[in-house]
Amino acid sequence: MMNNRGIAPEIKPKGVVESISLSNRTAHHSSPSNSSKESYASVGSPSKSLCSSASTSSENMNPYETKSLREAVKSAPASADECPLLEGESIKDQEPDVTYICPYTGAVRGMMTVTNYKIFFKSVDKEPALVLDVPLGVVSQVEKIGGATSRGVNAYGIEIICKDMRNLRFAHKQENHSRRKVFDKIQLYAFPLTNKLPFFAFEFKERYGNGEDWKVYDPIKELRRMGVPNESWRISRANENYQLCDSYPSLVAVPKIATDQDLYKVAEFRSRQRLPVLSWIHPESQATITRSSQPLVGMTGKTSKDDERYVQLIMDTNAQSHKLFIMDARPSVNAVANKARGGGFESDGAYQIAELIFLDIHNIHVMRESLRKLKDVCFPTIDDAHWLSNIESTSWLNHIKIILAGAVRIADKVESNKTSVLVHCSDGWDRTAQRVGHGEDKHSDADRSPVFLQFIDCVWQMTQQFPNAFEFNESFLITILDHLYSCLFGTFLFNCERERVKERVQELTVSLWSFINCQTEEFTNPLYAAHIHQHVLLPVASVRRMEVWTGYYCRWNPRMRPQEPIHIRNRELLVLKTQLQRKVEELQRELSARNARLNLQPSPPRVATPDVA
Amino acid sequence: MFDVIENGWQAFSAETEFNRFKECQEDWRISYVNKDYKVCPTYPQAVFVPKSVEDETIIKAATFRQGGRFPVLSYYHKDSKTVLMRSSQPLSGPNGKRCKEDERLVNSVMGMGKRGFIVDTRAQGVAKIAQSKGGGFELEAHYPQWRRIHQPIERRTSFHDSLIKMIEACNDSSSSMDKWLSKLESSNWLTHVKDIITSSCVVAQSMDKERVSVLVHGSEGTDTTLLVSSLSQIILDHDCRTVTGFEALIEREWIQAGHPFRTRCNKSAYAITKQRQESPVFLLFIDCVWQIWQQFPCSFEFSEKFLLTLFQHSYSSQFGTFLCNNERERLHCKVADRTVSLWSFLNRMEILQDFMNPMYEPNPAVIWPSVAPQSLMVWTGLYLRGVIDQTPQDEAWKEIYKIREYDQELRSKVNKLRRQLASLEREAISHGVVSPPVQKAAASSGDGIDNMASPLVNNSL
Repeated sequence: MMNNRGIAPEIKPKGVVESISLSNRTAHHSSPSNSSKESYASVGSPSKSLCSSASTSSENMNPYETKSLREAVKSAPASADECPLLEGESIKDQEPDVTYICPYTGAVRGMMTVTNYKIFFKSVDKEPALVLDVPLGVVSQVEKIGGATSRGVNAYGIEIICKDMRNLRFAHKQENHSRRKVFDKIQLYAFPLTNKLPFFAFEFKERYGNGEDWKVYDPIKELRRMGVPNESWRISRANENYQLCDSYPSLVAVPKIATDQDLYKVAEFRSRQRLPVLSWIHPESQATITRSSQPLVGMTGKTSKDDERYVQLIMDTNAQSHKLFIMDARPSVNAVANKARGGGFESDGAYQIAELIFLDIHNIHVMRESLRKLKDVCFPTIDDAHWLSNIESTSWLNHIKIILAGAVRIADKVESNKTSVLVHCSDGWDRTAQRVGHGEDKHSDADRSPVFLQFIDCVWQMTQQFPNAFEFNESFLITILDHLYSCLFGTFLFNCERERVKERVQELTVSLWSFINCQTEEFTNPLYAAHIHQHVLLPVASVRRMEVWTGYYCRWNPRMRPQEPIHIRNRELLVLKTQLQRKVEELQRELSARNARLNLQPSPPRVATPDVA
Repeated sequence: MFDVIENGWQAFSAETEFNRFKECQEDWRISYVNKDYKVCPTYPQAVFVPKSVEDETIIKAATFRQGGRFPVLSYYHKDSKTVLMRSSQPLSGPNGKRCKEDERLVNSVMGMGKRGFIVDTRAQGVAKIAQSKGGGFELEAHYPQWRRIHQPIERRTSFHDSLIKMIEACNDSSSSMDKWLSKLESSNWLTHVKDIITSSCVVAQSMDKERVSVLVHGSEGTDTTLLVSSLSQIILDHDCRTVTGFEALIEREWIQAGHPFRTRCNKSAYAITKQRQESPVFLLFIDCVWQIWQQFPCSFEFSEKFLLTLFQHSYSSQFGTFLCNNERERLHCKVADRTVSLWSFLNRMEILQDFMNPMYEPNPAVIWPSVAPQSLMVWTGLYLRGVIDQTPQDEAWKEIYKIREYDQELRSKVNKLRRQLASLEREAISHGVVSPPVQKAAASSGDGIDNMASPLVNNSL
């Protein structure tokens, strides 16, 4: 038994503790995610080894799926070993005698199924059954453990390293290379790109909502929302065929005075042609946030008159200020080092109207290492005595703090100083866009980056600081992260619009947003009060304020199960609220109808109106 | 001044409190053996003891316990018919002295063949050292039905050091707080919180799951002992999680039980002081309650603000409730005549409504808190309130209150309309406008609303 789960009293009266449920309140707890879940059955062992009150949950962690995904399942499994399938999903391999080595409950025997979408495991001798349901998209690496001659129980098998903060260990029978087929199938379907296979998203046939799948984000509408085009900004079609910059969308907003020819010249001076384009415009002050990649200054200190003029144009669109801040997201050391590779930063001399500020956000390699350490701290077991210092040593919260502080700084310049800001780092996508490395196997590890995760983490930090300011809840953020990896929806596939258009993502896959939008009640924050925070939120970017997002990073730990399923109650109360509201309307209608009918009756004298009390 | 509706000085008398344990009154009685505070100067006049043990035995047993704090009933757990007792350490000393009367008192709780646990809040080594200095622990040989468990909690002196270190870390305003988490960890405050909740869980578990009675003590029986005995009751008894129940618990387990508030809370909680008697023991209790509160946000009738208020009043107060060290001193200083009780102030509708938890749903179950490190939090609302703006949190609570009110409003509106509809229908029928079958339909729609009143039944997935 693990020794660092919950209370671990040294001396224990014989048989003091058997298994104690985490909460006596409800039998069902919801696991906040829908794509991967694990259900625990009587974790507490009847032995006298410790499962203390706090650490164990003996109730069945019913796999909670969001409504729609449940409905997408073709048919309910008829027998115990059958695996529920999504529309378009098919079984590729099934191994009846596999042992899942759960880091919390120990070895569990069961049936393992590999489909083109997921790994599914269901225990056989446990009641209620333990169920694992892991989309292959979260698999980052599969490894063989032990060989045919390895000794010891469960020494032979495979280990699956996941992107969602956990690893899974399975043990197989040593006879007849029984793991080979499973291993090959996982390798094949977890890394479709490497194996020249389509993503599962292209085979997933479910449709949500009214089929307006991809209309949720309409770039023109989005720009209109910000008031573009207007007297200073226009929408350029210079990138229609991605000839200007292949990683930009086809429509970009640029200063009105800049011609398309200007854009080409500016793009030449920017790394990967990512020239400054509009990201956001302040509705009142017209101060803007523009983003780009680094200028190609290089060791020789090249300059570009066109780029300087263009930056000047950006500043000119904002009449409120005679200055422009250029926020370089990198630490200044990294920016200098980039000069050796032809990059660099805007020099004071060339851009006199601009002030350069470094935001000190580290590069993807540092972030990846930090996340790796965080995973080690959070999974599978947590060191009780050194939890806080371990967290500190990962620097994760520090990185989150710096990112948030950078965002606050930009917001402050735009909001308080009414000054426009140009943001860039090296390529202009690591710290703004992101690379997940979908569907490629471990060779692409070096390019993978947790930047999107950090973005979501920052959003979560803000939801913690401003509980009324966000319409969505934690489960929304976790669902997004789950499907960032799951490859069930096309939304996060590929690196840029050009690739997505080429692969016909819009025609052939489902958008995550239509999946989410058809069940908004699952993701609504009941505390959302638009009237309180109508303006800018300035989160406190202090280490003391940063919290470990245990609901995400530690969610596989059974000790993390919610003590009281608040979000279920929230959801129930929201449903009740709408029900009551409907009932009130209905009754009111009925009442007025009846009143009208009564009044139509001429003869009997009306009795006094019934007391309404 | 305000009108006292209910006099707090009389609100929680021993007699009324004893009535809470109705079910055990066959075996237990109120004893006034301590009416002149001679047997134990720090106990109240009235204590709960086994019926089968006479006062003379108790007087002798008291001489065997430090400060005369003989084992008394602290809580009776109905579900498992087990009792929780507390005392101070036995004075067995290096020679292993014994006391027949103490053994009789302790053993009288046990039926034939039953077993119990003695939870010692000290580590075994600490208890051994205490023994060499005249204190000690119950030797197995003399208490054969009891099994001793050591559930180490640090002594109260280290609580104070930890608090100072933690507050220092919290108030360190230097811009580079990159050592925040390790400073917090090395203050050990959360370790104390963990140890205390752990011990309380073990006690609660023994009583609820193992169905055995428990005796808790540390050394003096006025600090860690009370932490464990009171927190176990929060875990076990839903009544202690209501406003009145919680007040009663503090009155019974802290004020009457003789926690020396005067010496422990002499200076301000964060004061750097050389006095060895100072210690934020009660603050730790409030902190532990808050930890459980934030893990079970729907199971407590009171809000975080209520806990903050109690903490403040335990240190500086215009009320007499937390004055003096024990009942004897309070009587001597005529506290009840010369001051107003905090409970008189709090227990008025206009004050109390600010302290209610809008999310409260009575939950009769035993609640098992988690002591995993990621479950224990720094109490931002208390320790960091000077550093971190609490407005967004306050606004969130206001929003919850609003939702609750709106919900109430809708419910009463539905009921009102339903009544109106029913009487209109009656009227219509009496005039022959509508025929009776319609009423049937209306009645069934009425049932629908009744069902909706319990969302958990109706909408559970």
